[in-house]
Amino acid sequence: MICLERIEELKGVEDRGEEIFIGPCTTFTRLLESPVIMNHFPILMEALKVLGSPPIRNMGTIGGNIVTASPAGDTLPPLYLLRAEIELRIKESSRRMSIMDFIKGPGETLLAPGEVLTAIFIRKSPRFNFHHYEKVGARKALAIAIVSFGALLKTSDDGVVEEARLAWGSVAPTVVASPEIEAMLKGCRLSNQVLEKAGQIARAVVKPIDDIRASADYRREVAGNLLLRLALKNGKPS
Amino acid sequence: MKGEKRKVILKEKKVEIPLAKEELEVVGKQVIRKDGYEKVTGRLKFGADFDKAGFLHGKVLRSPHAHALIKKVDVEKAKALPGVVAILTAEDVPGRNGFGAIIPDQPVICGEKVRFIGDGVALVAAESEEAAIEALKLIDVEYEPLSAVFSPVEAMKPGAPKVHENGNLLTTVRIRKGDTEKGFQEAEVIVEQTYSLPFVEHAYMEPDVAMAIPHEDGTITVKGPMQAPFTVRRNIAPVLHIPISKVQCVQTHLGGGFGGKEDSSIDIGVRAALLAWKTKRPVRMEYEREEVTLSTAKRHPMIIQCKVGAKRDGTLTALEGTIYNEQGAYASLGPIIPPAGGTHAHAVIMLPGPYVIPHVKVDGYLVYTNHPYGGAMRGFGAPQVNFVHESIIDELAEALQMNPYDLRMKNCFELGSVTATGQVLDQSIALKETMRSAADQFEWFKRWRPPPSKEEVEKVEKRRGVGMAIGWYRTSIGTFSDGCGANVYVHEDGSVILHTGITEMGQGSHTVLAQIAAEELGVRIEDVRIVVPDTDIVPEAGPTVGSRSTTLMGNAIIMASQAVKASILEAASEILGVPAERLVARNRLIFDRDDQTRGVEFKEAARRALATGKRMMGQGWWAPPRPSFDVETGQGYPYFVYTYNTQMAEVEVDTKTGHVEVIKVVACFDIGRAINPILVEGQIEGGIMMGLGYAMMEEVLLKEGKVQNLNFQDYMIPTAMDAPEIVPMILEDPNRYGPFGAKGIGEMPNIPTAPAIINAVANAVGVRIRDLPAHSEKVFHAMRGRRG
Repeated sequence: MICLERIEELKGVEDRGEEIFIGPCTTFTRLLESPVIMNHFPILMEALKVLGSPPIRNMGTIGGNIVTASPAGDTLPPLYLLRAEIELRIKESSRRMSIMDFIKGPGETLLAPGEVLTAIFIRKSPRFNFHHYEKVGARKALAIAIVSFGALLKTSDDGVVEEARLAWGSVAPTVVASPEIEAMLKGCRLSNQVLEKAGQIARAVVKPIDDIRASADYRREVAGNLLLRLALKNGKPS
Repeated sequence: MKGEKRKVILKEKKVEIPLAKEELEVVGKQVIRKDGYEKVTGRLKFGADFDKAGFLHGKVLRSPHAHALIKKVDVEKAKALPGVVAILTAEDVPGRNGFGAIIPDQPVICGEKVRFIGDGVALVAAESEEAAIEALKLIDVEYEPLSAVFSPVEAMKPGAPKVHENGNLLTTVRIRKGDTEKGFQEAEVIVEQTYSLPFVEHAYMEPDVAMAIPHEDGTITVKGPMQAPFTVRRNIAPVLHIPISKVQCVQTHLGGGFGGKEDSSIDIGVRAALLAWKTKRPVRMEYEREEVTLSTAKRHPMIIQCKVGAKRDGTLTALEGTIYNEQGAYASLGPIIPPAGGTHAHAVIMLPGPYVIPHVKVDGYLVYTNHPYGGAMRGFGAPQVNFVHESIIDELAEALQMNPYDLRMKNCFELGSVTATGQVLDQSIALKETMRSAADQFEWFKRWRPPPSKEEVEKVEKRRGVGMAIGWYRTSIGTFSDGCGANVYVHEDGSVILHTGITEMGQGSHTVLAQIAAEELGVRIEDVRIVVPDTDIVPEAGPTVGSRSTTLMGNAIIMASQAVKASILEAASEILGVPAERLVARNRLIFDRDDQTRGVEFKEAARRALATGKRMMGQGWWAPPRPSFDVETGQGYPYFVYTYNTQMAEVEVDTKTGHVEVIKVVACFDIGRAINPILVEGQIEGGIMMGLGYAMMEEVLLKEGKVQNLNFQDYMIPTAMDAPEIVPMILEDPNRYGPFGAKGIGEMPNIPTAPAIINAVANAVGVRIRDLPAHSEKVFHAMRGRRG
């Protein structure tokens, strides 16, 4: 085992124009303090705020959260929504892929023996005017997600969805996305009726398990219910 | 009140206690914690921080079976492992092979059979921890599994597997008052429900440690975080087959106890002592977090059926209850020693709540099962039954369409009330005042409204509600062993040493006890040093439990302080030429009450007292008025005084997830006199957080006898982020028998919190949770059930 903790090149956040570079050894605390993350990816900030506790955020890194590939990894739904890409290196060669391709299952990734996660890249996406992230856990800190849900929306001035991205955590072996619901919401106003219908689809898409924290049934129900958080308030996303 | 003095009888001895705050210099004041500096700077050593050099490492081999006969234990391979010094099995125990806080029914090392997953089957001592762990794997135990029983109701049935030879029913305690049949005939509304409470882990931050050091003169010292060093000593002596006088127990600073280290320090202390005794070398044992959760005592789970009847106007006419109290594998602090005592008797006594009810019938069964065992945990049986009476009173209020506050106010205790055990409450009872003060602060009447219809709930994403609960709690254990002693030594420079066996667990008792000594002697708190409780040095104190330390030990300290103070005042009298009766000692000065310009420094008087051969030590011994309790009828005076409490909670329930957020808790207490108001507030806030955990997340999950959530990743306790706004309020209705009027506070705060929160949930979303904890999923399913 090799400790990467002291390699400065693997740390920090840099604005590289089109995209943002995040060093995988950057701690959650440092990300929370980063104005770049705050400006460009507020949804990631929401996830970081409810991750672990201050001591864990001081020690834990975003690269660790990715490579651990837990279905409950708190930063994973936002990274999926933001279409994050990662860079892997071994000796002289490197490869770049989307996080969705990288994570295969609980604790399973495409990381090859001897390979190191060396960068995370996220393209700026200013068109999204609305974001939501929520974690349902047994308590408000130091809790492993029972269900988590994130959304990025681009809506018109009168509240019609032009583009939607949705992701659920802790309800399947990996983060769940639903192109079907995303397509369905396009062109709609987010009324309770529309979202109830989307919730039905979500309940069919997720593949949760029973464990010590909650039943599969509860996770499935709540995964659908959390869509209702996107409901319009006064004709606009709240 | 100003200037008023009340004659107080302290065990045959008349003592004048100033009851006016204005007259006190140290008591009732904010002082710096005795252990504060060392704790906040991280310099204080807890049990695990002591140097391990020179110690062998002790480990326990634990049973993987909930119930099984031990056919064979083969230790040869383990013994041959380099570094292993001893492997002990049941036949190696020189004396009694059993320990326990009340009944010694738990084997130090199991010989014939195991009764729960975690039972000790062999002990190992090795030169290194690694060798000890390796040796555990090499011990070959052959078991013959027996069918096991995991529920008290099942365990009571004929033909159930017998956990112990004499059967599974360990203790039955009843209350018979009046005629409940008649009482229910008089009732116009009757509510009947069943409630259930889970096993709960204390989750003290510091896992258990014991260091045992045998000496060449045949004595042995055991050090560790002990909540009750005298109870540990009492258990080690018969196991080693030596007199109590040859066992020394020395307390290290406790990183939390909550009742758990009353038991666990016996468990680990006896085993470490046995290993040290047999190897003739110092042995250190430390239980891992998982071992603590697996094998030490927990809060008793209970299933409780309860029925109450009332007139239309809310007047209570009758209460009946049946308690199935799960003891688990061993007796621990469950059973009763007449005239009272044990968690179980306390639960039975407390089930009718702080209400005047003419007809009461309670049957309480304490039953062995093959689960881990129940013991003392902050509230000693009261949190369980308080949840029941405070839930059912709210359910009754709903049936009567009354405000639950009014129903409580109509029926609850006041001066002169008679309890279900026939005890007349003749002093220090301000329960109704705590209700009024809490209601004013909380704005109860502005905020309470009847529970909503299901349509109203469905309309909103989040809905708020309010709930309340009241409670009472004893001060003292209420058994014959409640006496406690203190020694006070004054030195020629005016400094003071106080010997007390009450242990500091973070609750602040050493600060409070030093305040009492300083006040009585007329010195400053920094002049008083409390030595570490050491059974070779300090007088018998009983255990640090039952919210008894301030009140019982406080009285012993007052007596001891007065005894030595007499010498100091006599010396001052000689210096000043003023009769000793006229002298007052305060803030390091001794002066003439009638002419306050005439005085002498305390230390000067102390110097003269020593020089003139006066007695420089004082001893005190105090026990409360002797309790009485009949286990068949439940009649008697089991405890001499009670603390009273009202809590009001506001919650917000997420109708889409079932998540409950506690927004605010107002908690008002009648504690007689707050010796240290800041520490009292600390107890209140900590207790409420513990009660919040009990309400919403804490539960030891068991599957076929096996604990599923052994560590803090899976066992949930509330974090600081889960803390609501807490408003602690203190009322002081002086206790005639307490030092400066005090009574206990340690346990009361965590008791009514859970029902207050659960009542608020019912008020918010119209669903009632009758089995704790009310985690999100349970609340969610209850709401969905209501939707149909």
